[in-house]
Amino acid sequence: MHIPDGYLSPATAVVMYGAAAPFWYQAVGKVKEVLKSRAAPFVAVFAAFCFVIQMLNIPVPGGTTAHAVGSVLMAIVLGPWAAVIGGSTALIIQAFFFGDGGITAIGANCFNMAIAMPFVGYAVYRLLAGRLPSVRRRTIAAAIGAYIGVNVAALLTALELGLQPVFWSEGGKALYNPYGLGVTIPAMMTVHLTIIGIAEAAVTGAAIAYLARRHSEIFEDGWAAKGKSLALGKMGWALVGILGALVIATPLGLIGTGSADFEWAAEQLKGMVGYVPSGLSSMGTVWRFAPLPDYTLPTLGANSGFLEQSLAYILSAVVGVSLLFVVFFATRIILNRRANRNAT
Amino acid sequence: MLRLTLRRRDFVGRSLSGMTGVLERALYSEEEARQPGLLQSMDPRVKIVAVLLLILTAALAHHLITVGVVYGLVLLLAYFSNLSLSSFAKRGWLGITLFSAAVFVPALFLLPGHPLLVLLEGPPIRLAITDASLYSAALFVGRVGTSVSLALLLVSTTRWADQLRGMGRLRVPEVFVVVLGMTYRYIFLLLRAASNLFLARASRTVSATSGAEQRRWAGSAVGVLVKRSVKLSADVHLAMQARGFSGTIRTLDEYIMRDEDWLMLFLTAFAVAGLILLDGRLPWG
Repeated sequence: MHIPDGYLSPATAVVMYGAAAPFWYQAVGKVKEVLKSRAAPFVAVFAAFCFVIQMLNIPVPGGTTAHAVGSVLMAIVLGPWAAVIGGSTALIIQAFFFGDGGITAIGANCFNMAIAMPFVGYAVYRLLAGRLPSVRRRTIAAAIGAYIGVNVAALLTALELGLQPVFWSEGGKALYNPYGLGVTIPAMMTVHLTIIGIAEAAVTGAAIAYLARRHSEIFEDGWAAKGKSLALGKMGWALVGILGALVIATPLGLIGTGSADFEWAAEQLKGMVGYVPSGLSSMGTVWRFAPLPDYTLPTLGANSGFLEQSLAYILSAVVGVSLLFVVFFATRIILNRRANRNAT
Repeated sequence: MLRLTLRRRDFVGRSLSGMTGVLERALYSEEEARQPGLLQSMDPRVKIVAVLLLILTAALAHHLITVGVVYGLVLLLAYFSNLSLSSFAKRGWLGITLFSAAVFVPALFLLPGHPLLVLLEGPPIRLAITDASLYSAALFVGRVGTSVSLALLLVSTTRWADQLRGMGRLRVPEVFVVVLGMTYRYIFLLLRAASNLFLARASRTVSATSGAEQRRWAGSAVGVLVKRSVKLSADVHLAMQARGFSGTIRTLDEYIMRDEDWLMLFLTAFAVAGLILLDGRLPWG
C-alpha cells in the first residue's frame, strides 16, 4: 500500500501533506501533554514496533502470506494519537532509509496508513467493544476494527491513485499513475477485502486476545486507560467528521469540474446514486467531443502552458489546504471556549 | 540460517528473510557511505536539499528529456562519489521500478493515440500500442526509477547519524530528529527480538501446522512484541532520567558550510530551476 515517488502528481502530494498536517500537529501536542518527558522514548519505541510488525508475514487461508500494517493495534493499545505519531515516524524512516514508499508521497502514505486507518479502526473498535468488554468481545471488536481500518486505507490509496489521470497532459499522455478509479478501486479492494484484510484482522485480534489474557493490566491501568486524553476526544471526532466529508466530496467535486476521464466518472456516479443527472451526462458528451479535454481552471484557456496549469493546480491545492486549517483552528477555538466556560 | 532459505515459502522463513534483508541493507549502505567520494564529503544539509529538489524536478517534469537529464546528473554524482555504477543502476531500476513497468503494461493498450503496433483488430475491440502510450510508459517508469535512484544516492553516501544531524540543522524540530534517531536504533533491537521469536519457532517445529494455529502464534508473537515495547520504552526513559534528561534535548554537533557546499547548493538550485523552466518551454510530445 506504500505509494512510491512518481505515481502521484506534485499537486496531489502537496494536498496530502496538507491533509496530514493538522493531525500531526494535534497528535504531537496530545502525546507531549500526556507523556511529558516520556514522550520521546515512548514514541520512538512504538515507531520501531510499527516498522518491525510490517516485516512479519502472517499466514492467510489459502496458503499465501501477507504483512500487516499494525496501526489499528497500536491505536487500541496506546490510543489513536500515539498511533498517528508512531505510524508516521515508521513510514518516514521507510521512505528515507529503506526506499519503501516515495519521499513526495509521505503525506499521502501517512494519511492513509497512519491517520485514517488507526482513527477509523479505533472508532469501530470502541463502538463494538463497549464499556467493559470480555476478552472474546474485545478480540472480535479489534479484528473487525482492523479489517475495516485497513480497507479504508486501501480505498483512500485507490482514490488518490485513481484521481491521477486528471493530471494528464494535453496530448492525452499519462503523466502519473495512468489508471482511473474504475481500475484502481477494484484492484486495491479485491486484495484488501480478502487476503490483506484477513491478515490484518487475524493478527490484530490475536494480539489483543493475547494481551487481554496475559497482560490485562495494559487495558486496565495501561496506556489506553491512563492516557484517557490520548483517546479520540471531541477534537478527534470532529477531525474524523471533516475527513469523512472530504473523502465523499473529492470524487464528486472532480466530476463537477469535469475531469479528463469523464466516461468513468459518469459511470461511477451512476453506481453511487443510481442515475446520472441529465445535465452532467449532456456536459459529458460535449467534453468528449471537445478537441482538448478541459481540466484547467476556468480563468485559464485550455491552451495555457504547463507552468500556468501546475500553478493553477498548486494554487487550488493551497486554497483547499488553508480551508482545512481554517476549519481545524476554528473548531479548536470553539471547543476550547466551551471547555473554559464549563470550567468556570 | 542458510537452511531457512530453503523454506522461504513458509511464513516463518519469509519473515526471517525479510528481517535479515533489512539488517543487510542498513549495514551495506552504512559501509558504502564510509568510502571517500564527492557526495560523501559534502555537508549533509546540502545533500538532503539537493536530493529533495531533484526529486521534485522529476515529479514536475512533463517531458522524458527532462527526466533523462536528471537521471544523467544522478549517474554523474554517483560516478564522482565512487559508487559502483552497475550495482547502483541495478538497485535503482530493479524492485519498485520494475514493478511499476509491469503495472503499466495494461495501460499501454488503454491510452488513446496514433497506433504503432496493432495486436488485435476486430470490430468490437482493438488492441494497439500507441505512440502516446509508449511515451507515457517511458515517462512514468523513468520518473519512478529516477526518484528511487535519487533516494538511493542520499542513503549510499550519507551515514545515518550525519543524515539525522543534517535534518536537525535544517530546522526540522529537534524532538522529531531525536525521535527518528531513537526509532532507528530500536528498530534493530526489536528486529532482533522478533527474529529470535521466529527462529525459536522454526527450530522447534517438526511437522506442518494448521493455518489457524499459525495465525494464533503470529498474533501472540505480535502481542509479546507489544509488551516488550512498553517495557523497553519505560526502561529507556528511566535510563535517560538517570543521565539527567529533563525533557529538553541538547546536541553537540555543529556543521560549517564550506565553499564547496555552497557551490553544490547553488549548482543544484540552478540546474533544478533551469530544468523546470526548459521543461515548460518544450513542445508537447
